Amino acid sequence: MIQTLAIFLDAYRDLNSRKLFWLAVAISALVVAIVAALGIDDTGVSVVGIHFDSKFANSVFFPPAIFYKLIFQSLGINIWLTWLAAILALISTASVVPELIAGGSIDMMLSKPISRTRLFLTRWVTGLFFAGIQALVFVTASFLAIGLRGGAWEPGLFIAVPAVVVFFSYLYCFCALMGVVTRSTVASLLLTLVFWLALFGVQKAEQFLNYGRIASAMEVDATERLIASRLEKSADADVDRLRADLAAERISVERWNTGYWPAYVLVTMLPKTNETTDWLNRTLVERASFRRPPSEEDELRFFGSTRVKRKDFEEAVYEDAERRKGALWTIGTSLAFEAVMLGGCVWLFRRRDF
Amino acid sequence: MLAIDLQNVTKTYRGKVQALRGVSLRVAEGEIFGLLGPNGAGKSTLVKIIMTVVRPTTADGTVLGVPIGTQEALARVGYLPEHHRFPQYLTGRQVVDFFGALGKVPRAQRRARVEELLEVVGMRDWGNRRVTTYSKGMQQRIGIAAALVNDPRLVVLDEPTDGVDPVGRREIRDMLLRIRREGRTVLVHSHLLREVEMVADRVAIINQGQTLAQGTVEELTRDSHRYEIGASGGPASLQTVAGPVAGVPDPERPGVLTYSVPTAQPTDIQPAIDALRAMGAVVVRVGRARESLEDLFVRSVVDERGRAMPGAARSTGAPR
Repeated sequence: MIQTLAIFLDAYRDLNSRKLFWLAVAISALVVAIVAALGIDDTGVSVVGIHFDSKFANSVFFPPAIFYKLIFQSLGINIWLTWLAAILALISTASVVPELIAGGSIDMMLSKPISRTRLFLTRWVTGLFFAGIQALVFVTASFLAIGLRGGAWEPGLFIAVPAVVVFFSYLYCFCALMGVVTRSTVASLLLTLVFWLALFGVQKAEQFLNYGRIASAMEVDATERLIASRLEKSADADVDRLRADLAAERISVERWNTGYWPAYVLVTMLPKTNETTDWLNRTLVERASFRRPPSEEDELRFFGSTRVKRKDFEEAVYEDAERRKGALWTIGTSLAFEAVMLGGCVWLFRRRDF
Repeated sequence: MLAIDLQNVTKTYRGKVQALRGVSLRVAEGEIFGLLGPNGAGKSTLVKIIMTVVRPTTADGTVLGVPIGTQEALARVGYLPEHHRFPQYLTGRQVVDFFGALGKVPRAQRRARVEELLEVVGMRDWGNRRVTTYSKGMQQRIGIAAALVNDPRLVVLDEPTDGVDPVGRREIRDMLLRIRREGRTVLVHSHLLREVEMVADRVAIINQGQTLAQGTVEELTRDSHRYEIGASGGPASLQTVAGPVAGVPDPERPGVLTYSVPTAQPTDIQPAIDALRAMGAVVVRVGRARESLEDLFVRSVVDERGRAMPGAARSTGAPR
């Protein structure tokens, strides 16, 4: 315990000495301050006391609590915490492992009565400090802003703190492995960014294929219902064209499924950064009374679909995600990947001569 | 009990580079032991194996009575590596405290120990400054304090006087003697043979991954004892009990030749002195001499490279 506390205290001192850490905290506070400086009433919005009339951005459409939550969700989570702050955290912490294993530094650490596994993992966990403190500052400030300005006190908001740390840990485990392999801060940082980009691409591909799969299945349902309703009205109704459409749509469903399931398996094996953000957004709807994104009433035009309403499609996508992409799949399988990465790090670290 | 008792330590790095080829090392408790060898001899690898920084290919033996490489052994060992690098964001006091905590020293005990050690190494007034502001000598002092913070029974110092000025070197030497007086064992590895000779009770010379010699400096240089006779007006070659000895001009005394007679017995040089007098030469100096550690070191290493070496340096002395 003495050793663990010492390593954590050392990590705190390390963070404290980095200008980037304080810069990131300052930006977090500034972002929330700007959001808090926004006001909304039934005639429009105001920015630092300057009022702008608006027919859409007003408290009739967006009650103040919803307005601030929407900003927290779209700006705070989807852009700041899971993109920009994560990049700043990676820049700040990519050096933790290369510095740990640098000559002169590692010698003194390994000569102490602490196992290599414990030393490495404890140091790695301290690297998550950056993201954790960052998220805690931002979420606490947002909690106060939403409570004071929007009148809604939502402790459920704090689920974002562990979620962001978990999100960051997916990337940080890969960064640590690259750090052990290359011993270079710059190389591990760049390779992690490339890895993140690849993850983004794979997840977007899976998402696209899933949308296509769901839309085409809904199209089949809609066509079947249409045929049934026409035949119900008149047994002699001409439904041949619809039947031909249905046959083509069923083939389309098969094709989408053929493409989708390999992508799904691949995404299941990899850490799910986008999915974790989506999971957090869904969880905030449940835990902090966030509003689900409004849906349009028009027809879905993507994927050549014409008989499915956009609203129904978005509802189906949401339900599909809730049913198949819960915490266990999203976070559990990502953590399994992380465990494999960290296992690799520890294996290399334990075997290496310094 | 031996502080270090190692046998058959071998290390083959990837690429089949054999750094150690069956080294044995016996260091007694309470002594200062010097580990010597040329660059690439395997000294650092041996020290790193003792400190678990490098994993041995094979190694038998104990450190402080417990198997090498165990945490139990490490808890009682202090280590200062050659090119140590302290976290730049820490002050000297924080560095010593941090390594004390890693050595599992309880907080209250650690606090007192840190202050005591900063006093001992003369860094009390500088303790609250960041290590980046320290000179090389100050960093070495902090490093020694960090190596001692866990109250170790064995202290391993890799080039402790490296980059330190003569005054600082003397202070570090005094520190080593003080550590020994406290009953601790010191394993010191240095290229500065004169420094080692001044403090080490015993030494080991390692070359090409093998122990060439091990013992006290006295034991290792016993066969190199000689008497030197300085005389003016003597012959170019003087017959002695050991055979003819050539006279070497004394650079400090013009006209004086020095005859070096390889013997430890004063009776053996009497006939040579008589012969010089009989020839009318004036004997200006008679003195006993022996090889320095540097001479021994160079001779041992040169011998390994295929040149002649008397058997003396190969003798392996037992620890006290």
